Amino acid sequence: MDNGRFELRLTGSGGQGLILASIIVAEAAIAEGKVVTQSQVYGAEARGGTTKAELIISDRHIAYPKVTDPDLVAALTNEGLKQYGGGISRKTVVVIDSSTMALPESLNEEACKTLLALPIRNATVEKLGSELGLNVVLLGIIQGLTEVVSVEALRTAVSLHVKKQYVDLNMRALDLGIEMVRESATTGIRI
Amino acid sequence: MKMSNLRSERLPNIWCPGCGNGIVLRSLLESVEQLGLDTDKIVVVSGIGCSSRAPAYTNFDNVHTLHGRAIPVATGIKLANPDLTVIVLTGDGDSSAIGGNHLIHAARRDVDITVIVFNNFNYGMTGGQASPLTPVASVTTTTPGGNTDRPFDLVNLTAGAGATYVARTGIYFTKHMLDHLKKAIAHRGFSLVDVIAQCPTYFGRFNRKGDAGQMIVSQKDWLVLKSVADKKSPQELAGKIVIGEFVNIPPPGPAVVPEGQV
Amino acid sequence: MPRIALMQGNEAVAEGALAAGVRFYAGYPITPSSEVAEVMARRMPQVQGVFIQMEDEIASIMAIVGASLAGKKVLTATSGPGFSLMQEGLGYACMIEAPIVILDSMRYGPSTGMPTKVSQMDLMQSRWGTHGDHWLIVYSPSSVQESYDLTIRAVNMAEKYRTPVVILSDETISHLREPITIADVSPTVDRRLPAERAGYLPYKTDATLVPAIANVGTGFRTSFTGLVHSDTGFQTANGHVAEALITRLRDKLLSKLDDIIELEADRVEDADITFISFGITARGVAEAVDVLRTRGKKAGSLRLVTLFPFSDDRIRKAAGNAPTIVVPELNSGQLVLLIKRVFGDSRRIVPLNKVNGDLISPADILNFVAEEKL
Repeated sequence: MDNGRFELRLTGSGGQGLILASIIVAEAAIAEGKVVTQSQVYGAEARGGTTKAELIISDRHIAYPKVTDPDLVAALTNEGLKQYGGGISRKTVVVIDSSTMALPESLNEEACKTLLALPIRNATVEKLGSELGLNVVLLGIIQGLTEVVSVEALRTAVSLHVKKQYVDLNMRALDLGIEMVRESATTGIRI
Repeated sequence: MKMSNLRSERLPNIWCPGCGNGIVLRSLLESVEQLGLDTDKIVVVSGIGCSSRAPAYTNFDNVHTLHGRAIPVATGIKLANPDLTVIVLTGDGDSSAIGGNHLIHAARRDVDITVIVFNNFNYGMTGGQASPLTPVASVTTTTPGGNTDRPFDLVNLTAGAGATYVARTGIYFTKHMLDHLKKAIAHRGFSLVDVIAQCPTYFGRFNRKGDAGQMIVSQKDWLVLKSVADKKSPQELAGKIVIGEFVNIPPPGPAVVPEGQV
Repeated sequence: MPRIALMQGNEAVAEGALAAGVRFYAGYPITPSSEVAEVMARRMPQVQGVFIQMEDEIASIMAIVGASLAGKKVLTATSGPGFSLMQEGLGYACMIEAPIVILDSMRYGPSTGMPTKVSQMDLMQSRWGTHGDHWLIVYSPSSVQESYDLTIRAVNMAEKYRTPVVILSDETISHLREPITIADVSPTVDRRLPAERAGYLPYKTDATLVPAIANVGTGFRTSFTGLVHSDTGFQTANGHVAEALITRLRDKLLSKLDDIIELEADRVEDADITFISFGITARGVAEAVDVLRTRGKKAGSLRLVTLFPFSDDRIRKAAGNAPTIVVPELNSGQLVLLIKRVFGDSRRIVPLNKVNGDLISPADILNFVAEEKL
């Protein structure tokens, strides 16, 4: 978090829960006394289609509310990265889902210093039994990578959005994401 | 009739000599009186046109709105204060052309308002143009060679849209008109009365229907009571318009809980 | 205790309206305002209010006018295409002096345009969309907090001055989520009602120029018409009455500018370059001004919270003395026309327009300043 400000962009396809994921991080950050602006792109499709969610977390007032200089970009589809990969710089950490995405040529070492390719979907299906929870696994990854919000605040925020019987599953999803980051030194392509 | 329900200081009215609107207005005032309604709780709403000036001659709260828009305003008033009796006074063009969409949706919602259509088959205020209720072949200033469009049947239109009370009457049949206006106003749910009136100035003159008196009296020849019409063949009813009550669905009563099933 | 909540702009408008006492909502779905209707559909029954989805925007505005006449505080929400349909009802509300509040969340136009893309293309429509001379209040929020606060203020102003109030927001603010502070109780204003039935004249006014019109159904036998009317509420074609009416409709707002107009000036006093903007664009400006100042450039900002009534005099006084004024807006140049009127040739007025459906970013502004050598 440079200058007390963190810019996050999530992109993928509609229905993956990325907008909700960004709202959950926003709520965790507010609980920790931060200022946030959260936004998303709206398309005509209700399901499917490429989606983008953005979040700025700051210690102080946020004037311009859209992400212009992302600290972290997480992409779950190639199309998402293609459409909404703008603004990636040497400071940006990029996370892609290696289970569904080819390593994009645009993100060579010159363009992107820190690229983390993680088998997010495959790990989710393998460890949690289905793709449900994919977005919460991603939250774990964001937390593990940046610690922009505490694990505790994130757990509380996630709990507020899921039914009681699914709290446990989602906590495991969160832990899975955090664990994937820890192991990334060996499984990641470049970090 | 109680003169106190007529806003006498607004008279004389703007209507032409021989206009049917005053007769409908009188019947409305009579209905309200006979129903014993609290006149503080009556709101009369109208759109634009000759008939839509009628509310201003009532001594009730009155809202003269925009062309075609009386029904959504009436809907807002009724939903905001369900204690009120909300009556829309409208014309054939106001209700069925520019306001046609609002009419069918109010019927669909069964909002508890009464719509009284002063139907004189043309736009009087703007000089006698055709309306969606102008009969085929009739001459108006916009159908100089005779109307080629088929008219709406307001009764079927609103019944099809879900109105729970629909009637048609004519001003010649004063008791029939009064009875049906009373039933419509007393009805809980959306009610509409299509009241056939005359416009001697335009429609009557252009179509050689005679003077106002002749136009009124002739109603007994071409308006047929539903009870009579039910026994007649379509051929016998050609060129006639049927009057009477077409829909009267009482509102659902309070739910009855069968014994032992509480 | 005040609470903090993460809210979308549209949700904040709905919640602000509820806090201000709005108990009647009629609307028709349209992107990007539909969330207001969705929140109201859920919330109105909780407060014994009324939600109704009408058959179109014409019906929506007329329904809130009707409910307002029956005494409710009312709201509808729409976007450009629906706002176009509402114009006749807006004029009617001006004429009969019905307190109503309309949210127009601006999207890219004309026509259906780009439904999910932001613009500020309805600025002039909000002022002059309906025919005839008329006056109304238009507020422009630039954050979610302000969406909440200005909605409360809009409802209060509508009641106080018996006038339509437009909240001119946009797609970005409508869908933006920000934490907002919600007070336990918000100050509310109720319309003035007549006391005496004897001698009651609905449109008779005192020094406030705002009539105390009875709500329908309260025994005053009151009368409304969109035709020119005397203080009786009944139609007249008397030219003197017409002139007096139109003049009063103007003066009831123009004589209360202290109460109505809010402008937010930031570092304009010593500025060499001042940006005049409104709504979401002002947020890009705020950041650009910070950057320019760190680079040693004396920049300032004037944000129009109240867009209309538009007071040339107040804008002139609030804008400081910068020789260069830049007017960034998400249209082809609407606000700039008014700013040119205010300053004539006394300053260099530079339009900065963006019409591709994206926001004017701080970088856009900085690049513009550099390229134009401002």
